[in-house]
Amino acid sequence: MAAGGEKGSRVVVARSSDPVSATRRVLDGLALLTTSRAKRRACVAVTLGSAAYVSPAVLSETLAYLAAKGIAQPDVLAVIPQRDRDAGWDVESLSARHDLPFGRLVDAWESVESAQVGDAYVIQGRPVPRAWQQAGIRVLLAPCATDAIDGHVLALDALRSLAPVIAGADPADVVMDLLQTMAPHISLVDAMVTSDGPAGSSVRRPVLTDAVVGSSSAILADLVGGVLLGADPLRPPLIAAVVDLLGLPGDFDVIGDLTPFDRIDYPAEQLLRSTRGAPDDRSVSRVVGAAMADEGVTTTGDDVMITLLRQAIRPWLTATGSEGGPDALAWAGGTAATTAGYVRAWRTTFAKDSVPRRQASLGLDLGSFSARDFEAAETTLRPLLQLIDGLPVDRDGLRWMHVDGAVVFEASRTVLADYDTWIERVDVSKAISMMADYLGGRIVVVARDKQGRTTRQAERNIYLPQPNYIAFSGGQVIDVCKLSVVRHRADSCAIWWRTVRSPNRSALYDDGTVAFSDAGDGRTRIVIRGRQQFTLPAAMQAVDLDLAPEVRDSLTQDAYRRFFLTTLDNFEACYEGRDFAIGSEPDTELPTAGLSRLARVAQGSIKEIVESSARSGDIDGSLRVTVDVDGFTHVTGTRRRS
Amino acid sequence: MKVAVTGATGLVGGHVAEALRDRGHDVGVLVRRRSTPPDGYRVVRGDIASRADLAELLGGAVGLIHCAAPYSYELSAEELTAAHVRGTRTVLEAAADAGVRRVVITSSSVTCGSSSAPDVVDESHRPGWEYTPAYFQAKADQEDLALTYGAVLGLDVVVACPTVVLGGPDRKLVPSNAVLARYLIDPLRSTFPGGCNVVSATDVGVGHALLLESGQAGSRYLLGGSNLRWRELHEIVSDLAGVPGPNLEMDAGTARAAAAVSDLWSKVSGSPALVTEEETRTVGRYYWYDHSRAAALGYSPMGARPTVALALSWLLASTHLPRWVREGLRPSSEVRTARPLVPRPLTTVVDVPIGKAKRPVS
Repeated sequence: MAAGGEKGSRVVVARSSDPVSATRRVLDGLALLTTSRAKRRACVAVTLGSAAYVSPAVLSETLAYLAAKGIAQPDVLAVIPQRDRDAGWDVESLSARHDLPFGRLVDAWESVESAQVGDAYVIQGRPVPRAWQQAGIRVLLAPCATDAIDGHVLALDALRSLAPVIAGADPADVVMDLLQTMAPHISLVDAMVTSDGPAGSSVRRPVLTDAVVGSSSAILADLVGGVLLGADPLRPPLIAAVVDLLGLPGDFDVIGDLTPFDRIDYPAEQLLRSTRGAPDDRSVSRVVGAAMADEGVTTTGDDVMITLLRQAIRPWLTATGSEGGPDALAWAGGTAATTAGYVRAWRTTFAKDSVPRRQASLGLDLGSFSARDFEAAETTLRPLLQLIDGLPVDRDGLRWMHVDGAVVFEASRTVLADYDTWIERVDVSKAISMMADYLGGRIVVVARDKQGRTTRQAERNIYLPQPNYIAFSGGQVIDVCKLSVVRHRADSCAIWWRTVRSPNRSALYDDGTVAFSDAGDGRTRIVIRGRQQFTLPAAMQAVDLDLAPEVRDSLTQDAYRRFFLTTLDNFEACYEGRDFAIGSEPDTELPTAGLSRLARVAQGSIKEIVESSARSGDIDGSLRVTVDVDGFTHVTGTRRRS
Repeated sequence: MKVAVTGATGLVGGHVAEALRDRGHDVGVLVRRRSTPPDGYRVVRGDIASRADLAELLGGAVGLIHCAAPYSYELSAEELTAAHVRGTRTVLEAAADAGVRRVVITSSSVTCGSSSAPDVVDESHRPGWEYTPAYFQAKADQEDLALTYGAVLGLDVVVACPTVVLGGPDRKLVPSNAVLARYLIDPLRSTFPGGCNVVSATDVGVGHALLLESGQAGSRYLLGGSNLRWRELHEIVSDLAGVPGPNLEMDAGTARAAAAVSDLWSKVSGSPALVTEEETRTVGRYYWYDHSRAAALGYSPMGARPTVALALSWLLASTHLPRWVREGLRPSSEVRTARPLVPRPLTTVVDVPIGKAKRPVS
């Protein structure tokens, strides 16, 4: 399966003013459809956006190519980018808008089924387009456009629109899942016309670029597409995240001319930074994306806030640089992102129950780890932890020291609970997910013992920024992927873990162990030990706290005390059946939807009051109340008089 | 002895039922239909306003402890009277009908009044000219009714007068535990003049059982613990919770202003007020009591420090303290070990926010 990073990939760039010829040259150059593959069911997903879309000629030629290979009736799905869906567009209205002869197109989401993928994937059990999942041959057609949030959007953006929107999940995770489980076999980028400018994916500004890019790897197609746009090919965060996990395609061939297109007006860096928002908070970028897109037809007026934002933003998008449009947009985006950042920081510190919980894929290729890699969680950490054995324990049951920039620590408590009763209720293999500030993640059990207990597992953990207050300086969530071993003995059990990857580079070390042991007399001993080193935000890295060890140690003490006392409390809460998890269920709605509903309710109430007043006061003239000379009241009906 | 308890899902009622059970009684409890009943009792679901429900509860019982009544400074005088006085009347009549012999009514130490000076008073004392919140008055009226009407009905009525009851589990934050919560939430960690008597809910439970077993009919018994100035109480809280303070002593006027702000915030946020204007009007007075009469029956409450430690251990396990407040505390080992943990039933599903695997991978 083409996951995008396999050896032997090929990317073909055909440059021609004739889309049919260019498409044919790319497909012939790829030479991917063998006879055995041609017998399979095929699915072609074609991107249809309000401003950027695949030309009918490229689609037609692709279908003709498939037919020539013996695939006469592929499923053809329309893929509408999320920003356009949020703005109220559907297949019918977009086809009509662009006057496209796409008679056979159906919305990719018209027929869905559960994703039949492994435990490591966040899309497991989520709806995916049925035809795409079932196809033996998948072809993805994407347009070429600049984008005010991502820089540029090509094949991976199209794939993102084929993935389910999972509340609380990073779109990059979802795309990576698709790339690993149901990747396109052929990815074509239709760059015959590129929509450029500050937001080419939302406001069409066509530039003839006369090229088609094709590859067996969607990542490769995007990288080459980025080169042709004259941009940093890893500039879009989505591509960067995918390459970070799956790696750059190795040993690939490039056929064709990679000379960048002329006169591409690429979004300014200032604009891209302002619209993106926090790396772990997609709410700002999604609102910005929906507000930038032209207003669709299906939900016109539903989201009043988006409509208002659109009215403010669209003139800036269509204005030229000399008119200050991009600057105004950058300012507005920056203001929104800053505000959202402070709201997020406030929630992180003072209202943790309002922070949306997270969903995530495992973020690891389990096939690349051996049993020894799991065992290393204990063997590499145990000697280091012995360093703190001689330190005194403070009032909070804590002891710690700095070791080469990391903190090696121990937090312990003895609780009044029988050991056997304790371990029945507090599963040591789930200990990490019970820790303070845990927002979500994924656990994949790799091995069990004869009693069915977990002995090896991989997990991904996402926590609030640590210490919490660094959120005010732009600190991001702790996002770490770990390998764990679990030991079960007669009177003790323990989990050992080591971090092997941090997708957002938030941690250099987050290794540790949680052990429960029988302390006798109906008591259980809990010991948490570990080594941690988290990445501070740039603003805080400027302060070298090693020069003020008293301050550094005080901050460290406070941070570890808060985190681990709460963690120990969480174990107790789990034992007693009390809820301890932070966060709230994430919402798939746009963040503006609630405000808009409120506005509609207020608007409706005001309208009702006005109409009520009008009826009673005869403002609209439909009712007329008169009192005659005898004192009788006469009320006219609403029937029209001739 | 087959006995019945009303209000067993409340702070005092829960401990009363537990104490009775621990002393070997066969305990039946009346709980509201929507409430989760405590384990280990005969449970009758119903309402104290329903004679039928009460008859079901009291059938065959020889003793009754009536704890069900709201402990609140937010309800109106009418609402409090309805619950405390009319509720008690109904319960007494049902008890008489069912042939119950002994009845203990849960009242309050406030019916014994207070002092402007740090003087200790006993059951013979009554409120003077000091301000009397509606809750205080409702309790006084309830007592009067219980003793007079109970005698008319031929019941042996004993009145229990607990002081400031601290402890848990406390499903709704009662005003007594709110004293602790309020102090921990207050960024200034303020205290105020005057004092109170604090007692553990556990001891109050045992005290009620003693009164049912051997209290003198027609008598009132103070169930108190330790007499403390507010500052002393707050110092204990600070020490046990591991926070500095108290830092500031508010006078009555400032306390009332703070209560007004708290009230406004509760109306805006929809959350219950941590302190009411009525409560702050008691600031400066001493609610100090002597529990010698109950002690003569074997009542022996724990000291102030373990009482507060136990209450804090429950408070920290509740949601009455905001998460950011709980995370800022450094509770002492006395708090950590004040109570044994209560294991959850193994069928309880604990909400762990992980996208965990639905199928194990071998």
